[in-house]
Amino acid sequence: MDRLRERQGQVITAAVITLLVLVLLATGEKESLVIGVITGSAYGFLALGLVLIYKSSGVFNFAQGEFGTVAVYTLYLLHFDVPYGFALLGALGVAVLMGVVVERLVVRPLFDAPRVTLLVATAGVALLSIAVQIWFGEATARPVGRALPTLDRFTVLGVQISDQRLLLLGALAILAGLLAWFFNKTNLGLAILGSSQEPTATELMGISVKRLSTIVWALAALLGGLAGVLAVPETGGFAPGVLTVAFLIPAFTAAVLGGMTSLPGAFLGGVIVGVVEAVATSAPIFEDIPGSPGTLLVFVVLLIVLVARPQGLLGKAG
Amino acid sequence: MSQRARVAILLLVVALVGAACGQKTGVAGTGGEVVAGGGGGGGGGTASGQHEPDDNDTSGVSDSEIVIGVHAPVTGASPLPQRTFDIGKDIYWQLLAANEPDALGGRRVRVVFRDDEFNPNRAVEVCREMVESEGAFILVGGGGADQITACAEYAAENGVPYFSAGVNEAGLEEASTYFALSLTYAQQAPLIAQRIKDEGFEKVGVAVADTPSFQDGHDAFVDAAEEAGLDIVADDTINKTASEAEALAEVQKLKDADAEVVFILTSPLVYLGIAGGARNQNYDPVFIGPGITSGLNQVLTFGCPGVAKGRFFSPFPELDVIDELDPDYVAAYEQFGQGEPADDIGLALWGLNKTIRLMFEATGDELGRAALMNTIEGGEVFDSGVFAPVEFSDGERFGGTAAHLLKADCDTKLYSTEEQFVQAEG
Amino acid sequence: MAVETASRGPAAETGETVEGGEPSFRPSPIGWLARGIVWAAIAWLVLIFPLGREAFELQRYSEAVIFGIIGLSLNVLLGYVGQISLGHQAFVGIGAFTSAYIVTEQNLSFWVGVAAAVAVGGLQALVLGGVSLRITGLYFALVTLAYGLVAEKNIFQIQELTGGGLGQPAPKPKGFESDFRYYYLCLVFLAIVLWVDWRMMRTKSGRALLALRENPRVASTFGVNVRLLTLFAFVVSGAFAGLGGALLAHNDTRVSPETWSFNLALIFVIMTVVGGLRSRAGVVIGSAFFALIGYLLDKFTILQDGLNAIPGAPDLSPEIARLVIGPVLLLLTLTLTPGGIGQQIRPIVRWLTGHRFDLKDRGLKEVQISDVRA
Repeated sequence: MDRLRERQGQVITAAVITLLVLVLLATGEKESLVIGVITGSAYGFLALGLVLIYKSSGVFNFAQGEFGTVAVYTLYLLHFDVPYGFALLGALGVAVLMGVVVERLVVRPLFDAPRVTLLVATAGVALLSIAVQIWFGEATARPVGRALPTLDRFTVLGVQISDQRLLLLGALAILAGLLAWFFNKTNLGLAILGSSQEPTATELMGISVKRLSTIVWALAALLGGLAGVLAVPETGGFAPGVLTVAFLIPAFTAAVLGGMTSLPGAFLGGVIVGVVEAVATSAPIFEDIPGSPGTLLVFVVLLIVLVARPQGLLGKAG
Repeated sequence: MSQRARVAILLLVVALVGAACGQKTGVAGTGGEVVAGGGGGGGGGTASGQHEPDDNDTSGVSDSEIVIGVHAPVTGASPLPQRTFDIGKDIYWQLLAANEPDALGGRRVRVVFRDDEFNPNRAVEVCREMVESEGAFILVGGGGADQITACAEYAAENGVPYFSAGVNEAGLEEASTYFALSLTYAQQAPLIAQRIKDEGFEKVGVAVADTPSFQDGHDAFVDAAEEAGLDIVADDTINKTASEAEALAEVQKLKDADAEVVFILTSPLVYLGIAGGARNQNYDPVFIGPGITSGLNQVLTFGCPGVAKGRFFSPFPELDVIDELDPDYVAAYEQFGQGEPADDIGLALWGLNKTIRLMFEATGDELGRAALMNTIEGGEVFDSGVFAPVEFSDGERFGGTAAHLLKADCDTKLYSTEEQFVQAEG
Repeated sequence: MAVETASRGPAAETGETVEGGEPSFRPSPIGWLARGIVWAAIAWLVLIFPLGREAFELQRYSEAVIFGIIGLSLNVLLGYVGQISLGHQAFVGIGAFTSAYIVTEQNLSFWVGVAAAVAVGGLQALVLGGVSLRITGLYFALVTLAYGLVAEKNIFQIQELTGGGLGQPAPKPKGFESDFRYYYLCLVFLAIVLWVDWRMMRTKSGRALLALRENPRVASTFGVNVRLLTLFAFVVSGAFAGLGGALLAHNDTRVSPETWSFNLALIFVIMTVVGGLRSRAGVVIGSAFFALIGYLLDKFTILQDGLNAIPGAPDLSPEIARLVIGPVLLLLTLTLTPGGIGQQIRPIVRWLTGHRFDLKDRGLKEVQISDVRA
């Protein structure tokens, strides 16, 4: 039965994507397709961490973007003194540290609190992080370097794709697959999932739920950090809270599209959200929407999915 | 709660409200006096061109001090660096106090700075606070057209002189206390069109931020470009705080239209997004426009190499020529810059302040708001040697006569001054 | 100062449940006198103290009062219905733009503007309430967050209605041009909102609403239509928000799109939670505090010095202070005293309304952000 439902999700997904691609090619929006995929992969990357946290503890982590911003900020600061590679490692280290600190100071004291309380708490963490960045570093935007400098190796449908974009896309695909395998096949992965659904049973098996929680948050922070250091250099630079302000809502929409629990779904969802946003921004029929049409269309997608298919494209029903 | 208690509380509240209302009118009256120019100034100041001399409001000017209020964004969507602003805001006045202690009748100028958060609503709030709480005599807008327009409207209603570099004209024409100390966007438009033509370009793209304040600058450029025989191949508005996807979409449009030159009138951050996106697509047009903030070196530190072909008409020259125009600047910055190197934000403020000083001095001993504004509108030319000379005839709000043309240099990550004092037509 | 506003009149009933079982207690005459003095002090602070201040300070106090209204609006959703809105700045902002549009573009009076803002706010909330019947809990929070962004990036960018990037002027109403008078006008509106809120929760429906949050099944035994009730609460919340927005617009005399950002939405949530859900007095005090943080830091430089004494930290500007202090207080509240300020001051409020002073009486059972509907 489950299998059948899963298939149904895949069929719908395939149909939606095919339709989207055909419409885009037919209307001459082929560039939006490529732009959408490359901007959407950044959303997918952030969504990966959101799904991880939700899968293991049922929490909507509004601080996920800030793991990324803090990592980017660290990369920027360290890169003055040390080579890029080391700065990158340092940045990810700081992100993981932040994840652990948030888990210890905020998540753990609220372990038994309602999930909405935790949502508010993580939103508070995000705001605090942004405020501290402004406080210590001014609100000005800063440039941050790419890991891979080549810009023009590939051109797809008239859009040039940099090596950094490909790195982001590749890392996202690999990590989504790897994590899906980890959760479905390995003991630790299953234990993490079990800890949210059956905490007592997990404890009885001799696995500390609290330790698992720390591991999950550290891992999510690592993913958030990676999303930041890989995606932000492509946009040229960053300002305080960049990943929260510009990426968090599309990333959540991506995760919801994937059903909040599916890691490959987060990847796909990110790409779809990216394409929708790119099309909304450039297609002539949306020109009359005031302000930023992308924001509106992403919102519409979110609403439609939540009302019509709350389990997401790849999620299991029920 | 018992009945008796309720009655007692009710009586008490009634008594207190009564007392409060009795006092209210009285105290509100004194409040009106405390408020600089609150009632009287508004009445006197709004008559077009004529600023009543009997109502020469001297709030913010004492025997020993003149207070100037400056606002600019250091947080919000398109922020400038706060520390540089804090340092640069009064370098000129510090030097003046040190070198010529008797200037301005021996008064020291104190500059108060507030962050307007790139938000017009906030700008009005801080302008009011600077006038009423800090006792600012005049107000100065450091950057951001919408914030400048909003605050200038407040200033006009309250009879407070307001100064900024030239931005839009719409909304400021009627602001009776406003003075643009350099060319407005619309006044610069013919210069820009001419420059594009002189360089031999034909296909021009236009990207202007989606706010009513930029409409007149946009229209003036389109007219000027058509008059110069240029071909406008793309003409778009872009969100005031555009996202990455929006910037990329704009780049695709310009690229598809094959624009060789892009007239850009947006916040620096949007400019950076477009220029960076263009470079990522191997599309390399010349960006040109009226700049105040887009012509700051900060933009190059952040945006090189994408912004390597940027050119902006600017009220202030760049650091490469400042020594010949005004040798005091670098020296003063060394003395009062708290160890920071002299930069162009300081230079912009230096130029503004220097022009304002000339205006103060021309007004003489009777320094008050009406006297100051009447002096400025008296037709005298104020030439600071940094900003181009300004001249305001009666009721004229936009007194700029020329602009400097800045050219990006991504090797040094500094703008250089390609041409000084490019004269506006007419 | 406006901080204590809520402790007046109706607010005193805050959080009170049925008083059954308590032995009747009558304060002594001295007890009454002591209470009277405290009441008088509060009334002095709210009503008379501001008269001695300057006009632009009154603008801050008015903002504090208006934030109280906004806090109460959010309290209806968070506290009574148990739905969290992370897009409340959009409701308030739409109220602000509605009133500014009516007054500036249509040349109608302030009162029409306020009425329209209340109506638009209520209508808007009705639509969102309809959505909330299908989308609840965490997902509802997400939808409201995204809606807030849509308001900021799309709705508030309709230049014909909002003036676009420059925003819309919103002059103060005739007869209330002075900040002093406007302050008292805001106080009157706050009193009305408090009264409506109090009456609403006194009715059978109000009590059913609270029961609904605790347990939907129990609520059905009240014989009320759960859906209708939820929608009604949404409309009330939206109407309060619209009112708050209109008052805020005319207090600032200009509305612009940048004001209504994600940060502000979070500040609204924070001030309500820190104030203490379902505690009228707490919510108003919390909201006023967050409206006044910058002002207080400016006035009491000792606070500023204290913050600046943190080693290695640059000076903290009042604008940023709110964003730093807010989340810290939020996290402390959530982890240590979920009932917020309301929980802390409950003994005092009880005492002031003629009950025995009992430090242990914190009504702990009452306070928690509920997620029965998540």
